[in-house]
Amino acid sequence: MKINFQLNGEDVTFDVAPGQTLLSALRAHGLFGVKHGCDTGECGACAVLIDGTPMNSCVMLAAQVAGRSVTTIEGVGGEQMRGWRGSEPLHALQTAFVETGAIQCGYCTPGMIITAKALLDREPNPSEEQVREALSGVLCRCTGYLKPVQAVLRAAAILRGEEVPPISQEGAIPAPPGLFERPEREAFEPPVMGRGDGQTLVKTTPMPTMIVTEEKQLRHVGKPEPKVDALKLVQGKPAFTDDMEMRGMLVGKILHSPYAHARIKHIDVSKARALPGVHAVLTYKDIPRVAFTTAGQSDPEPSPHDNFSLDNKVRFVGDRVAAVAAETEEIALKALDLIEVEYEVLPAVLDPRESMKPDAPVIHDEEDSDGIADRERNLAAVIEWQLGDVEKAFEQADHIIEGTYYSPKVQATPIEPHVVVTWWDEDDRLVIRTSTQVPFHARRILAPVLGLPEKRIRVIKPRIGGGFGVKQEVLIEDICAHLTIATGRPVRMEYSREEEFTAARTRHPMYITIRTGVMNDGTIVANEMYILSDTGASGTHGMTVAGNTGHKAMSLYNAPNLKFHADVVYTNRVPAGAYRGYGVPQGFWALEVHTDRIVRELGFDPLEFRLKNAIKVGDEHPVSKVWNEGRDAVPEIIETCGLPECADQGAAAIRWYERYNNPEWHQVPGKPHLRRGIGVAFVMQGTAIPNLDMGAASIKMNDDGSFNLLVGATDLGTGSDTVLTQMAAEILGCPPEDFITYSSDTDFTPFDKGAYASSTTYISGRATVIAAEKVAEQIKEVAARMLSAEGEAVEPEQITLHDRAAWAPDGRSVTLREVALNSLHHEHQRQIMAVGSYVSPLSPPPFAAQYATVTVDTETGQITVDELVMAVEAGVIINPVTASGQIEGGMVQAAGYGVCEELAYDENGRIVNPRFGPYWIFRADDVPDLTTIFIETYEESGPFGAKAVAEIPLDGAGPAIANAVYDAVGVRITDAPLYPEKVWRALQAMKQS
Amino acid sequence: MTTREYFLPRSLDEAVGLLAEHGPSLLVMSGGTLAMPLINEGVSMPEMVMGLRRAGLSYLERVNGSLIVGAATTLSQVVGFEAIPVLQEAAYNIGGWAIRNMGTVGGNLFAPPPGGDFAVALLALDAQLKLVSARGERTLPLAEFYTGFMTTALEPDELVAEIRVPVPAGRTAYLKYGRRHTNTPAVVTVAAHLVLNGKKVEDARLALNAVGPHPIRATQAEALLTGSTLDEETIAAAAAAAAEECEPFTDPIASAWYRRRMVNVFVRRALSQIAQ
Repeated sequence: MKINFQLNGEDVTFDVAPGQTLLSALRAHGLFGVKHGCDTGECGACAVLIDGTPMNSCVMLAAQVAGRSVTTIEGVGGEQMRGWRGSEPLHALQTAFVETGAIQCGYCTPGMIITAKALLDREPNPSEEQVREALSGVLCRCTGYLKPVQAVLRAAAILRGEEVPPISQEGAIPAPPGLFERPEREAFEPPVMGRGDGQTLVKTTPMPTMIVTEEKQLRHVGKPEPKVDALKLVQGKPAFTDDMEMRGMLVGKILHSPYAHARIKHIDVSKARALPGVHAVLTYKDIPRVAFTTAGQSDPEPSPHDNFSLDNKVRFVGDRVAAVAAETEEIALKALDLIEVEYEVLPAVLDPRESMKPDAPVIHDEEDSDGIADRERNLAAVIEWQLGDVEKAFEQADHIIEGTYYSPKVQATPIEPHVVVTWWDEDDRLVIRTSTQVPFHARRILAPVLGLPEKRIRVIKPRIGGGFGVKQEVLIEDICAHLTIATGRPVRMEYSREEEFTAARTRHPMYITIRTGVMNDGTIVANEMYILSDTGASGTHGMTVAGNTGHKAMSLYNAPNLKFHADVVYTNRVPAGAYRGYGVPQGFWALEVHTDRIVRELGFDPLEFRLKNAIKVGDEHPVSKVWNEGRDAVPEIIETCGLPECADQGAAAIRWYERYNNPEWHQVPGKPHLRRGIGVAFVMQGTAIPNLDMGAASIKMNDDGSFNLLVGATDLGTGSDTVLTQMAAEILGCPPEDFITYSSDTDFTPFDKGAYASSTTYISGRATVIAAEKVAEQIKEVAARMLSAEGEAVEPEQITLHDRAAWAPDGRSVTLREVALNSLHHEHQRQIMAVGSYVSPLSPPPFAAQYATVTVDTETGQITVDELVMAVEAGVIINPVTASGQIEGGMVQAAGYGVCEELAYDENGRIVNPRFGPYWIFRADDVPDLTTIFIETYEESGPFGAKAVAEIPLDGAGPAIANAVYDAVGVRITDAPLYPEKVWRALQAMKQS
Repeated sequence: MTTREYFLPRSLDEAVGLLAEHGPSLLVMSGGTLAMPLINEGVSMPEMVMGLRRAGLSYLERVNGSLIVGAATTLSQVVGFEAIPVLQEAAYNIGGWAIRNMGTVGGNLFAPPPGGDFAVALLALDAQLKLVSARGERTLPLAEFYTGFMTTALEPDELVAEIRVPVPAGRTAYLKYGRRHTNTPAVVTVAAHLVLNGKKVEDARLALNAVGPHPIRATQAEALLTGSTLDEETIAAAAAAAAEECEPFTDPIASAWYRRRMVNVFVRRALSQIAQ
């Protein structure tokens, strides 16, 4: 049917199907700024304005907008840099989103901006509360909402004609006294009434508090440079995997198993194949059987090869049964319905504590999987190591404290689901355009699965709409590629939100038992940790995640005697995989709740006890001696550690000493059912995997003195393209805008192991620095020759690069453009270009002190997280805005697994909350007040002194909140998340005892 | 996705005509926020869809001590219309902004629990529904509308066209308890309307949501309140009665066990708010 309406100010006619959503119709007509994030109107990525009012286009039929006016992000703000046409101004919201760092992956940005525009059109002077309420329907998993809210307030001020302060890093050092004094925050009734508390403090700058150790003489590094990809993202340009059309492109869909454990006895696809418009239906009978791992890790892959593109057995509800490629999504779905499957339903294991029992069904009974520790016992991997003599130390310890702690099954929920497009190119090479964190691993892993050599596969990683580890997985690339091989046609496959919950990957749930020996003076003499990790139906990342748990959590309190054992077991649940933090959040959930118990039971000061036992500069990283992802371990020394300063600054910011042990503060005047509490957790992470993680970069100089920076590193919204560009810009003496930064494409960019293990700034950054230094050398050679030809002789080593020019000591200069033209066209012609690659023998840990305050409603058990303060020491911060964005967003994700996120299962192994409604991630109007403090140190091994910030914010919020709840009401919850019912039951139990 | 036809009637007459013609194979969609997710997830595959956005059912007006609300009036329209504050509050407690701009008053009547947080307020205010078919129209109290889980007294050829809400004579309270402030499925929602003479309760309406097959009245608690003095003791007894008589269920948000206990807490809080 044809519909007429106004689209971004122009009259248009669309031909749409009666049942087509507005989202689908807009994207089919090239309006790719409207994003798909869920299918239920719950994420707001698809928000558009209908007659000026925000609505979610995924739950609206296109036919409904006939005669209406529709505004999308493409209709907000003018076109940029159109050659002789010049630029038209952007909307103030777009400018503010770029400046404040409100964009991380940029996938929710169009929805945010379009909604904010509707708000500002109605209310030019909104309060922070109004902004948060307006944005509350647009989910963001990257930012923690702080900077988007600031951006809207900033844009509102600009639109009102007010002056706004520039965003700069000037005068950040040292912290003046009183810096952390803030007005007392009123407690509020947590649960009801919907209107928010209205008390959140308005922040006027997106800059974190910076405690800087030395004056920096740098131009670009350490500065809040805007993200290099911000401009396209803020305009909703077609930058993401699915933002493309190809002639003849088919839609791929997967038939998922309804059973947790079953054998396919009989499968008949004849009816599905006969359906007009269906081009392929694949079952295990149609493709080669190749065991592989979906875990995107370096060769040789440490995860068991226990996965098949399609199998005759299903191992979880959501596992693959068959795949279809059809001309439309509708036909594909109909074809799935027509597939007839007869299952032999097998007994299932849904509880990891049952997995190793003798009568448990064997989940991987196939003979051709490889690398499983003990398939008969459903044991994917086992890790064991010991330092010193734990048993002897326990004998001598004054106190032994033991406890078991559980961390839940949670999902990363990037707002962009997994999505991939595959096609054959003109050279008969298979192109895979995919939302991945690991393009190079994906190519290598897929080659044997598809029966193609690596050289005949090209993997393109466009912009990524968030990953957080769940895209460190070769999840659907294989099946989409099989469909292209089967049909010869381009195929696009995108997960629905439901599939993202039921058939992607999750964090590994873990039962962790810790036994600690403590002396009367507060010295920890021994720590023993046992982990039971639930890897679900596949062992992907199973061993390395559990290893990482011990590697970090067992190192923080550097006891002389340590013992670690992990059993990683299969269950018939959706596989666990990589999720930001990679086992470490689970470890610190256990360790820091446990430490709070020790402190309380033995009467120590929580900060003093932790600092007394924590690892220090000059100490050997204990676990580095025994564990490195199952490879050879090489001992490392801690060269930088700002943990004491983190503890101090964080305590000051949250006013620890005024609140902890202060009964008055714990009361809420006039509300006897409310109790306040304050808690702390110390954490550490790593920076890359030593002697393994490798990244590379190439830099090529162009005629105009600009540079192509090609990196294999995969910016998935983290800002790595930006910080890598800042480093190169610093060395080559030009602004970041002179770089055309591109990541990543296996055909064009050098190898990088990908975005994981908090490694990009450190490893890929160092590689970029090496490449930039080589290019700088070449530039200086040319410049020295040019300058010497015109006057006094200059040696290349005397030349410095800044302000887009090469400078002799006497002040003479040639511009970079002149250098480039000379080198490419005039004399001794050569391409100025270099490649750098880097692998580190070290993994210097970042450290942090995480503080939290909560209000607990003792009548309901509901917890409101009021404040999260994280003081982080991560070496030199390359970009304070992007780095603090990582901390803010990470803390909010961590608070999620602490208080509200958990996949809920029924007795048949089905996930019963695969939607954003009942699976609650924080929204703009219910996030706590967030404060980030960076304590800088100079890590010699890092580029410009940097360590990592990416994962550490996931580690502390959960236990700090749990400890704050104990502080408030005296109940010790050891299994996250602390949702109201659980807290209330504990409160009742305490009352009765 | 299998929808063959979409109708956008321009009047109520046209709408009920289409309904009479096509019967149950025609899915009636108001805001779409309930139906579209099910269609997108493949749970519901209607052959024909009728949208009510242009059928002239989007209006709010005060008439003779009542608020008249067209069934296709959006929740945002209700939030912005200052006639009955408790309704504004109830509407505000549903979804995010975009969803309130789409979701309608009529549609919320059909939201399966724990949805229906607007309907529960209507129930407490003794709202009357105007049901229209090609055969004619009738009026039905909302309390008689629900017949079970996802079943109503609506005939197959009938539409809910209008809701009439008497402006409350007494004091009202509305408390939605979810795991978060807004935009969340409820653990329990309480809507109360008490007509007081001094401290004496002359009339009581207490409606609960997310603790039954549909929004329900806590009739035993109402009976206990009516004629009593609204003091702590009465409030506690009414809260206990409501907790006893509700029929909570278990879902990913909360267990039935917890829901029942929270009914006690939130009925008490709602009544205390009124008593203050």
